[in-house]
Parts: sequence; structure tokens; C-alpha cells
Amino acid sequence: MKRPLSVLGWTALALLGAGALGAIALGRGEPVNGLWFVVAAASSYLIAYRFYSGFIAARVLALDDTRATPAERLDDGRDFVPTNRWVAIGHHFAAIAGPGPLVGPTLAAQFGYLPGTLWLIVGAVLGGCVQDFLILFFSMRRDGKSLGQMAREEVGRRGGMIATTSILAIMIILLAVVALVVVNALKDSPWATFTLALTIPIAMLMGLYMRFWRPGRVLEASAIGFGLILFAVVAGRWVAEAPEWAAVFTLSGPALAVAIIVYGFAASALPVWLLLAPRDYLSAFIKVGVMLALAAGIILVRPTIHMPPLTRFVDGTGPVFAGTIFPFCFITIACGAVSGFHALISSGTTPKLLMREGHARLVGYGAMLMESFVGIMAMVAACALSPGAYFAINSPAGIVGATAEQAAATIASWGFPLDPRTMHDLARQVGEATLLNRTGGAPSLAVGMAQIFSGTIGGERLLSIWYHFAIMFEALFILTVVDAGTRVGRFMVQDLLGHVSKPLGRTGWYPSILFSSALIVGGWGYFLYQGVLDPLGGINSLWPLFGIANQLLAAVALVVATTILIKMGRMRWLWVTLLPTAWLVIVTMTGSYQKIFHPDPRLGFLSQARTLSEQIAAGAIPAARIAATERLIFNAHLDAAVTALFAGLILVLIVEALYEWYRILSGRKSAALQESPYVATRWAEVG
Amino acid sequence: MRTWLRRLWRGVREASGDAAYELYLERVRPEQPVSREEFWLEALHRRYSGPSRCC
Repeated sequence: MKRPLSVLGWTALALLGAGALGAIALGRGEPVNGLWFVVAAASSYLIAYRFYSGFIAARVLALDDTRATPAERLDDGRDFVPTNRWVAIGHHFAAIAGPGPLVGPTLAAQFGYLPGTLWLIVGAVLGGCVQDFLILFFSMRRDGKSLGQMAREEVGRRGGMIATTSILAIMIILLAVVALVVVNALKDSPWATFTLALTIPIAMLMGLYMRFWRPGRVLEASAIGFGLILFAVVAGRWVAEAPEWAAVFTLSGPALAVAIIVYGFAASALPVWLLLAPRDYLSAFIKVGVMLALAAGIILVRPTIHMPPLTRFVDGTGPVFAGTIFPFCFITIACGAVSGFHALISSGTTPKLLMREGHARLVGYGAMLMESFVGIMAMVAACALSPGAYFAINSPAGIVGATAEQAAATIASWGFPLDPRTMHDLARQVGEATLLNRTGGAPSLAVGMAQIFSGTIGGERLLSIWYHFAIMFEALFILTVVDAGTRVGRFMVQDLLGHVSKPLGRTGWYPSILFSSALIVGGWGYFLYQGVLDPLGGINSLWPLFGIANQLLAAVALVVATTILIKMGRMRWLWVTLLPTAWLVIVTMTGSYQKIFHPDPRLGFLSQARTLSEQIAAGAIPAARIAATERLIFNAHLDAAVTALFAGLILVLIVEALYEWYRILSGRKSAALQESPYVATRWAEVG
Repeated sequence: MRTWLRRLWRGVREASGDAAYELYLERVRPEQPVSREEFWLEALHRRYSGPSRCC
């Protein structure tokens, strides 16, 4: 009786999911409700989890619950801690969920809601979740070894070096682009800037509390911090309304960039307990809370989607960023579907927490499904805005103009009617001077979220509070990524410097801390600053670069996973990793080629440099702008070189891996796995 | 309901790291345990020496 009921239940869920997908994919001319997105995604995730991840767990990986995990064998109460699976998934999700799934889908909404939504679901189910699950499992079988170590041991020394170099390079681009998102969100906004500035002393107060007054009392400190943060959001309005204070906190893009660079350096060099850790705790709580609240808000408000399923910008002429739907939709969505960076978390702390092998399925595959769902919510929030408002907020002044009237005329000429008064009213309602040209995705997402939240609590009266709460939420956890990323980057630089000079490799030696912090901050700070000065908005160049780097890192992780599967003799199931690997390689290689060589100067870096050089030669650039234009030319060449470096690294790794696969399959090399030996579990039943 | 709430609270404390020191004492039963403060600082150092937050 149980089985027929189960079959019936799953069939009903499949039909519901198919109906919801049909409603969003086939609806033409009629507004679609945002709730269908939630139903379509949730049904697809449940089915994928039940069947596809079950298949991978049973047939591809053959998870073995009789085998003791490293958390059981090496339990030291510190690094290796057997943890309940629901606690472990919470821990893992808090670590992998970052700004990517919020910003990527918001930017990709310029193609319409359909391509991004489908890729978020399909990409996660067949790519991102598979990568996270497999790397978590393989790292667990190797006592929590990192992706770089596994690449070195299983693919070869060069593979390990490529993985390590890619990680450092992607870190620099990642930090630059997320910092740019914060700059664009805070630019000329005294309310948002004040609120975010106040989070620094709040975090330090929490740090002192947990260090000296109540050591390790994370929840107490976080509760105090959260209360103070809410006060900071409200107090931001008072500052914005007082002209003398508003002037102090109204900062330009370059000034904010410098402030964030100085902040990043301080966060990397200061003791971790003082700023980084308390901010991270606060950010993790707010992040999980806001995402749950957003899900509840979408279900309660059921927002109508105003964006069409496909826009004319699939042809590559979009104002938010340049590039055709293929490959740039997939590169832009990035983390919500597949994120190479997750492989670092899946081969970091998490494998040391799992109580039994079977838990890798829930934690690895399940947490990535949750991340993809965050991307779906961001897509709903962005597409619930009128397309006119969406493009006015997300397009740089160089494309739509700097006034509401110019923007309305340009955007209306694309077929999206926009009354200039709408933009004035919207800015007034959210408590900002203007919402025009606020590129980067964060402000438009904040408007969308504020509309959903105020539809649940407070109505239009609280729209400005909700908007600034949403901006604070985005900026807070983006800065946490900046803090934590800069610190990890610093350790990696110190590790490299240690080969040149022993003292520089000592992580506790202060001159080395300062020097390596300056190097890593200088790296991402340079890209951030050039992004701020870029007349096309910076995001146009940097986000695709970040997407390419992130997807290439995912390809690295999947190549490592494929190599291990070959060594395990699972030839029959190699398509599980080869399919997403091939797709990622095709997408990123096409994207890299176009970003370097495309003749459109908005898209191709070399073409952009050439066009600017020709303009200087023709005397079309005023003398006062020549130095700035020459800097843009240099930056375009630098971006082209960085893209070529990423592409070159992955090609070398693939050749290395193909040679390794050939040697194993032809019997020239033994298929020896580097797994830890089998030890039977002492736990008959664990939760 | 009360049991469920107690479990939830325990889960929140474990996931956040609030209960880490108690769990360390309970599980490892060290002969000379480090102080709560030392444990906290060590845990932070370990946590932020490798990738702990993602994009």
C-alpha cells in the first residue's frame, strides 16, 4: 500500500511541477504570478533530490554507511566534530550562500525571466549540486583534503598548481566585483552609507563582548548586534534628513572604493575576533533570516511578474551588460546554478562534520538546491519590477542617460514604457535622491525585496525602511565575503611568499601580515577602482570576468571528480560529471573568446582598447580626458590578459587530465585512489 | 512541542557555534581542557584560515 501511495505522490508532484513550468514558459501576453516560479522550482528540486541524487548516492558513489567518517575516526571536538545532519546542512548552506545567487539572476533578468529561471533549475540539478555533492564525498573519503590537494594527488602536480593558481586569481576578481556591487549600492546614498558604516563599530562591540565579557557566546552577541543593526537602519533616515550629516555620508564612487579598500586591509590585518568573526556571525544570521522571510513574502504577496519571458536583448545589445544569451546568460547566473567556489567549502570544513557517508547527499546536493532557490527568489524580486524601472536602475548613464527624462525616452524606444515621474516617485518612496543608473544589481533587488516585504508588513509607509534594510543586508554579507576572502587570500599569498623567504611565510609575523595583506588588497582594489571609473559601469566588464572564473573553477572541480570516478572504475556513470564539465568548458571558452576578441567594443576587451586608441589618434578625445582614456586602454588589455590566463589554465588542466585518463584506461598507470583506508563505524544508528 | 523546541534550540546553538565549547568538553573529555576563551580563539583562527565564505 505504501509503494502505490508513494508513486501517486511523486507523480502528482511531477505533474504540478510540469504545470508550473508550463505556466511560466508558455504564458504569452498574460502576466505570470511569481508563485508559479516557487512551485516550479520546489517541485523540480524535490524530484531531483529524490531520484537523481538518490541515483548518484547509490549507483555512482555507492555511499557506505558502515564506513566510519573522518568526523568519527578523528573526532577531536575542534576540527573533526560529528554533527547532526540538519545542523551540518545549516552550517554548509550559510557558508556557500553569498551574493552571487542574488546579483547574478538580477543581472540576467535583462534577457527576460525565462532563460535565467530555467538555467537556475537545470544548472543546479545537473551541475552545481552534482559538483558540490561529489567533491564533498571525495574530500570526506580523504579526511577533508582540499580541492587543490585532491587535484595534486589524483590528477597530477600540474593539476594541483593550476587549481591553486585559479583559486587565488578567482578570489581577486570575486572580491573586486562584489566590492563594486557595494560601491554602486551606497553611492550618493547617505542613509545606506551611514547604516553600513555603523555596522563596523557594532561588529567590533560584538567582538569585544565575545572575546572578553562572554567568550564564545555567539547567540547573545548576535542578538545584541541584530538589535543595534535595526537601530542603524532607522537612524540612517535621521542622518539622510539632516543636511549637515547627509553631506558627510554622501560619498562618490571613487571615495567609497577607497574606503572599502582601506576597510579590507584593516579587516585582514586586525585580529580575527575583533571585526571579521563578529561581522560574519551577524551576517550569517541575517542572511538566513532574510532568505526565509523573502520566501514567505513571495508566498504571501504572490507578486505579479512584469518582465516578459524573453526580451529583445537576447541578441547581445542589452544595456545591463553586453553579450548574447549564449553564453552570457549562463556565465552571469553563475553561483545560483553552478559555483566552482563551493568546491572549496565542500573540501574544507564540511567534510569534517558528517557523521555518516549518507549525509553527504543531503548536505552536498541539498544545500546547493537551497542556494538555487535563493536565485529563483532573486529572479522573482527583480522581474516583479516594471521592466522600465528595472532597466532605468540597472543601466549605466553612458547608455540610457543621466536624467529620468532621458532614461525614460531611451528605455521607451526599446519597447518598455517608462514615465519619468515613476522613477522620481519610486526614489522618493524608498528614501533616495535617485535610483537611476544604480548598476550592479543590488539596488534593483533591494527595491524588489522592499516591495515584497512592504506588501506583507507596513505597506508603502515602510517601503523606505525595507529598502534600506535590504541594502544593508546585501552590503553586510558582501563585506563579510570581502573580509573573509581577503584574509584567506592573505594566507595563500603568505604560503607562496614562504617559498621565497621563510619569514614572509610565517602567518603570525606582523610585517608579513601587512605586506601580504597589502598585496591581496592591492590586487582586488585595483580592479575595483578601475570598475568604478569605467564609463560603462564596471559591472559590464567585471561580472562576466567573475562568472567565467567561477565557472572555470567548477570545471576544475568536475575534472578532478571525473578523474576519481575513472579510478573508482565507474566508467558507466562518467556522464554524470562529463556532461556538466563539457557544458561548462563550452560556455566558458566561448565566453572567454568573445570577451577577448569580439568586434563589439562593449563586449570585446581588445576591440574596446582599439576603438579608444583610434579615438585618441583621431583627436576625438579632449586633451583633459586623454590620460583617463589611456588608463581605460591599459585596463582593457589587462582584462583581456586575465581572461586569457583563466582560459589557458583550464585548457592545460584538461589536457593534463585527459593524459591521466588515457594512462589509467590504457593500463599504463595504476588506478590507485588516495582514499583513507576503510574503518567500520562504531555507530550502529546515527541521526 | 516542548521537545521539538528544545531540539530546535539545540540545533541553532550547535549550528551557530554557541555550544561548541560544551560539546568539546562533553565529547573529548580532555584531562586538561583549554579555557573557553582559548577554545574560542583557536576555533576562530582555524575557521578563518581557509575558505569559509563563498560567493
